Amino acid sequence: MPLSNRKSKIASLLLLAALALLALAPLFFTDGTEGKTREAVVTVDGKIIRRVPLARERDEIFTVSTPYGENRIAVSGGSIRVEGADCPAKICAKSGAISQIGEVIACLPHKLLIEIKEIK
Amino acid sequence: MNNTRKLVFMGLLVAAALALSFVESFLPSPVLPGAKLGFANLVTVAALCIFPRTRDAALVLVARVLLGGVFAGGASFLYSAAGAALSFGVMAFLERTGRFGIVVVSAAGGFFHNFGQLAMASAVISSRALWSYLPALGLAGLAAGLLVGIVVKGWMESAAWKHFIRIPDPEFK
Repeated sequence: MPLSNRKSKIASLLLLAALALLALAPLFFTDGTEGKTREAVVTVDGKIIRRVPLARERDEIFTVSTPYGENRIAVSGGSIRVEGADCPAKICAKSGAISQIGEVIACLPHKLLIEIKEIK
Repeated sequence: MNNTRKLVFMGLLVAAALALSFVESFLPSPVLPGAKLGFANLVTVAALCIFPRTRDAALVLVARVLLGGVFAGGASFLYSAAGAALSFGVMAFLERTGRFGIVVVSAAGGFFHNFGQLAMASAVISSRALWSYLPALGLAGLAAGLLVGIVVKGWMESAAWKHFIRIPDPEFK
């Protein structure tokens, strides 16, 4: 596997560029959030269990019980985050708050997903 | 090729990979919650360079993922298995073409590791929304793979390593 000859270098650069482009592909399908009314959609196992409009003046804390465990979810200042969960890694809680359309918080062990969408 | 010697060597690689994952579990995620640098991939990429037969490297990987699943618990096993399988498949293929250096092969492996994990996670959670993590995770995988590849390239070129690897058997390579 010689990297010295020209052909390999070009092929390598093309491959790396293609992968970087593939990585960035989802960005081309998302558009801005400015001025749009948003809601957070909470799903478990692909089924929608709650929709929360994300208005600035709305503060709320609720608990979602899934067959796999519980997540405590906090809405405040137009953003939503997982405040606590009884899963081992707590990656969902460490993800912080989201507020932009297309942003996602996932709790894989509980198959729970919070997704920001536009209210049309 | 001395089979006992090879078996011991493969066992050592598996142990090294598990130890590396264990050490890494104490480090904070550099990019995203849940993202990792992939220390254990050092061993997978090195195994691809060391063993002339792809399936020997694959065996080291399978043993590592299975044992890692036993130690880490079931939840993350699905994701690491999906990531490892896709990543290894791509790396083995790219290596076979003979057009790419190990650094590039490893970078592609890093990318597809995260790609495979995302695909598995999307399937588990029944949603496509997770793909919005692809830009961050894909680029992180690419960068981590590059780093891993550079380290492994350094190993393979170091005099001490060449000496070590030659001693078992001239037919080892």
